[in-house]
Amino acid sequence: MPNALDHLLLIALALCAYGAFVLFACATGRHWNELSGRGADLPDRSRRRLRGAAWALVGLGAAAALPGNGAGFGVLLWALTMMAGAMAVAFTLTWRRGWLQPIARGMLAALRI
Amino acid sequence: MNDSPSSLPSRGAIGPALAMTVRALAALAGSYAFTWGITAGGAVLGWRLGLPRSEAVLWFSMLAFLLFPLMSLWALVTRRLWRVWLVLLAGAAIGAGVAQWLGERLA
Amino acid sequence: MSKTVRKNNNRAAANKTAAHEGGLRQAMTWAHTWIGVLLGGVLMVAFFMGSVAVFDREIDRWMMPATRIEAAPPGIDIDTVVPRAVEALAAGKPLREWAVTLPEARTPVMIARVRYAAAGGQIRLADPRTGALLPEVGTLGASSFFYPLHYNLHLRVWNIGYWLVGLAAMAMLAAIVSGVIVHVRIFRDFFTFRPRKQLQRSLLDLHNLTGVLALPFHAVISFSGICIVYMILIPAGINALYQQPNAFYDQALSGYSRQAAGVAAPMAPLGPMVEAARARWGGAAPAAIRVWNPGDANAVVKVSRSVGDRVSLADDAAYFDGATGALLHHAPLQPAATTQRFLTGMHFIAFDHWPLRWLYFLGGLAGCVLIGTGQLYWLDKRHARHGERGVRLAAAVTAAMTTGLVIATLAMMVANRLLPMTLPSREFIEAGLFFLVWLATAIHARVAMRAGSRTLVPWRQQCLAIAVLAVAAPVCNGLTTGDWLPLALARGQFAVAGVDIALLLTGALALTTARRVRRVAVARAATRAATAPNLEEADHAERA
Repeated sequence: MPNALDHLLLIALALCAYGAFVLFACATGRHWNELSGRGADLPDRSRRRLRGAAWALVGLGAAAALPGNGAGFGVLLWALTMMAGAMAVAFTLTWRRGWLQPIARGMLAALRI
Repeated sequence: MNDSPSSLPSRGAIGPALAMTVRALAALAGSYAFTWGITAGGAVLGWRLGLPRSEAVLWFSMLAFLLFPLMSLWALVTRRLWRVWLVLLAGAAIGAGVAQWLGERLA
Repeated sequence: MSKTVRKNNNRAAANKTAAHEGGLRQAMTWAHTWIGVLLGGVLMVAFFMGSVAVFDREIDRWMMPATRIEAAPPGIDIDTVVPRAVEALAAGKPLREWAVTLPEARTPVMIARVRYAAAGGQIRLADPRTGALLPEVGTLGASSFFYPLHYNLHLRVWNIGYWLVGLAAMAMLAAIVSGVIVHVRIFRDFFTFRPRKQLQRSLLDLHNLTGVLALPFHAVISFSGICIVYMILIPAGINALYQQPNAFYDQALSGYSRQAAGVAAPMAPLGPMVEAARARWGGAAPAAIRVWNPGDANAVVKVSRSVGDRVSLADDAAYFDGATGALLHHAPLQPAATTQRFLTGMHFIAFDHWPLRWLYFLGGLAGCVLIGTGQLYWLDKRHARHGERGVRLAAAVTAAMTTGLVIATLAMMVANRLLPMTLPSREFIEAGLFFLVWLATAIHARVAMRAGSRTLVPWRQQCLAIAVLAVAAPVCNGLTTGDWLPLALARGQFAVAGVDIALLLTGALALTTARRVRRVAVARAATRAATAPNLEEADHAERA
């Protein structure tokens, strides 16, 4: 039976997945302005830093998924949660953009981008 | 821009659409024959090169399912028909040949 | 024009058709489109029924109330319970083979199977606490109807169903490859979904979204699925190196078999054999016991390991001498076999991991949306280009493959509750009803088609039918079994409660969709859809 730590790690994995794709979305030219609230175009250096941070979150998600679940379950859980995170960000972007903007700006501030 | 055979010049001219269908079926059948040959020949080669029988069979059987869709796509979109037929039939023939002459069916 | 000239012109035209003008992307578009048109229906059935089958054990509890027993305690007495079930099923007749699947986390019952020495066999469910056979369930349930529909369309003659689904799986892989090649702005449009734009744009956006974001899932699920039935679809390798397929299976899966001796000998007790197997597995639970030639001196007992704690389907089976209980064979799988078992395990998801199970379900639904949006997009494009007459049949079929499939599934579940248990061949009547209702949805879509409307198909009516059935089913469950949703929860019948909740959510979703369809239809009737039938024109206009 999964215990409290397993549940926490699962939540952490989900947050990593969602956060990673929020950053990937910010790094996409099309969504940068509306998500960041800034008028200027995304400079290349910032785009690289954003993508780097996003991939770091993807890796962090793997660290959350693998220990408690073992290699087999862990890899599947990680991959599928990442896909679900991407979908969730896409749908938030479409239907609840207002929710996404503060999240994106908060993450950008935390990353000092 | 055309993107389907049904939008070819005249409604009454089923010729091209029919020919395309025949070509598609031939591409599928040819790709299957190619995949059959590679699977049989590959398994036999793998076994001859040291793999246990069942292992060789399993590797190439799984490979077949990657090979078939890719070959079918290639056969459908390649411009030059002769190239398609050459590759498909050669693969089928060589593979079947290897299986026939180098293979040995465990009793 | 002479016949030869016309034939040559046609041949030239065929060689130079749309598929080859405009280069690779154009050709791939043509391939992708026709894969979708010809095999989209089969793919939809495979993906929808596959998604339903993710929860087949839970739906079984719902459809077979007699199996809503509480979970058996972990250490059931195999020595008493298993032979009792087998003897009850055998009813005195000599057996060639029998097998019992032990209860596990999602299946509280035992499944007993016998094959008689004379022809024929039987399957029945049994209570693992006593070994008594449960009453006939009178239904195929999810595990014997929805699940097989997913992989062989119930067309078993000459394995036609396997071939069709196999072809669809291959088509899916080809569609993924061609789709990626065709997708113009795969990274720029990664998160793009514009539901309020022109219908074709919204459909294509959603198609791209569900395709790209879940691409690894779609690719792996299709490839892993077809790797399960390699022996049916591409026996070339087996044929090249074996005369008897059974010899291949024994080698490939580390199995063991031997002929009957023809000498009678009593069976040794099963308990010690299972314990010996469990010791070799480091304490893991057993999943099933299978016996060949019971009562013969050369009887073989196969004890397989539970796969609930791993992805791979490898059952690590141990083979014992039936008369003495001595270990005959227990060998690990070799690399290719391990790979194949892992792949098939990724598809079967026979494991105990609820978050993963739900994620797979969502992936399957994403696949359904992917296929459905593709079909609707093609339908709308064809409607714009060829008018109504060219698209009515396709529209009716599309309706049947989308809302129709859901309606048929729900109708079968309602019938499952309402048909009297005393009805002879009840399970076949239920299944027949599924197919009849399915056909009826296609006919309804055609008959109730509204000329001049943008989408033709009476989507709203079919969505309302889904809503009605989806709410009726839990009500019928409560009326016929007394396991109303709150009571089922209180009694710990979580499978039944879960299915009821899923049904109610489906109904709510269908109702919302019906309302939305009406709103959208009214709004779009105002805009002249015919002004931009070509999506490329609309795109240019948008970018201008």
